[in-house]
Amino acid sequence: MANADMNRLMDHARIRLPGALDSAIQMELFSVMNEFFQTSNIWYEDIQFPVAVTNDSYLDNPDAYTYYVIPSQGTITRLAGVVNSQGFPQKAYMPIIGQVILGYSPNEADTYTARMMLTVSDPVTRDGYPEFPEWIMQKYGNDILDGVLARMMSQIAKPYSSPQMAQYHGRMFKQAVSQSKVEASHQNVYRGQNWRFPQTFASRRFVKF
Amino acid sequence: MALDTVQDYVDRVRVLLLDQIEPYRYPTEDLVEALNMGILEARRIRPDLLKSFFRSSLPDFSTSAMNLVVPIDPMYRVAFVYYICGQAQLRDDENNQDSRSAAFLNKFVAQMTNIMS
Repeated sequence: MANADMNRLMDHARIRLPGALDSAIQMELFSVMNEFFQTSNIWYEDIQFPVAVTNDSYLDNPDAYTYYVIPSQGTITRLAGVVNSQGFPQKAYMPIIGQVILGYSPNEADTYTARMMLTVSDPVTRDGYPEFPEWIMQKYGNDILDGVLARMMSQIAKPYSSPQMAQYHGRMFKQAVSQSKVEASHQNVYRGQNWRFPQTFASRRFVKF
Repeated sequence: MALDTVQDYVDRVRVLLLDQIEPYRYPTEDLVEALNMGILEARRIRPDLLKSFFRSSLPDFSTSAMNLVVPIDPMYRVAFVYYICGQAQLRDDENNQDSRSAAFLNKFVAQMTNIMS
């Protein structure tokens, strides 16, 4: 069952898009959410994974440096950073989605935490809606609606086709995505800085979450 | 009339065609076949209407199962009535005028693609 915010978005879309089918709106909603998350990075998950010491080099034994992470919801788009159990950043890469490769072997067995940016994925709910945290719809519902309207109105030969309005709503959506990206980088702190403690000295690299 | 089943469509079409008394001028088989053709047309001009059939064959109705539900969104069911009427009146028949057939078929397309129709 869709929540109140999702129902509100659908009602707005139905009213503004005469003749549009719910299934078509839901299909575009999935694309809009995917673009929204891929661009803004506002949805992430910290995923812990155990690491083990190895004396092999990466070229000799790549598997010893490779770890696989799976988010509880959605699908991974990019890796924001990896920290050890003390919170110190660790060099890591993700050439293939979900496959974390450490730059260096850990000094001891530990549990690392990878911050993964996420986006929507199949399967959708039984009602056909993509799944993502509810607060995002509460905060960005009108902006998401702009994205849906832009994509729907840009379709050709439909009762709701409108290239001009598609451009307008598309512009509004792009602005909202940019705004949400900044807010996410500030962790939703008004005029906030994007780094976090501990940062013991200025030259230390820090993870820019 | 809810226009749910094949029979609903045929009944409604017969009203517009003034063909409600047996023996019918337009055989039921022809009207059902026109409905099938309407679905083919809809797949072309409004593929979203038949999204659930993208990976399967389109529904194909016959007079042996008149109670089958026609899987068309309620917003567009009336358009199919007009299409069936238009197809029926395309026949070379002394009761028909080409302009009436064209009007029905154009109305179908207009309702599918425009707000005002």
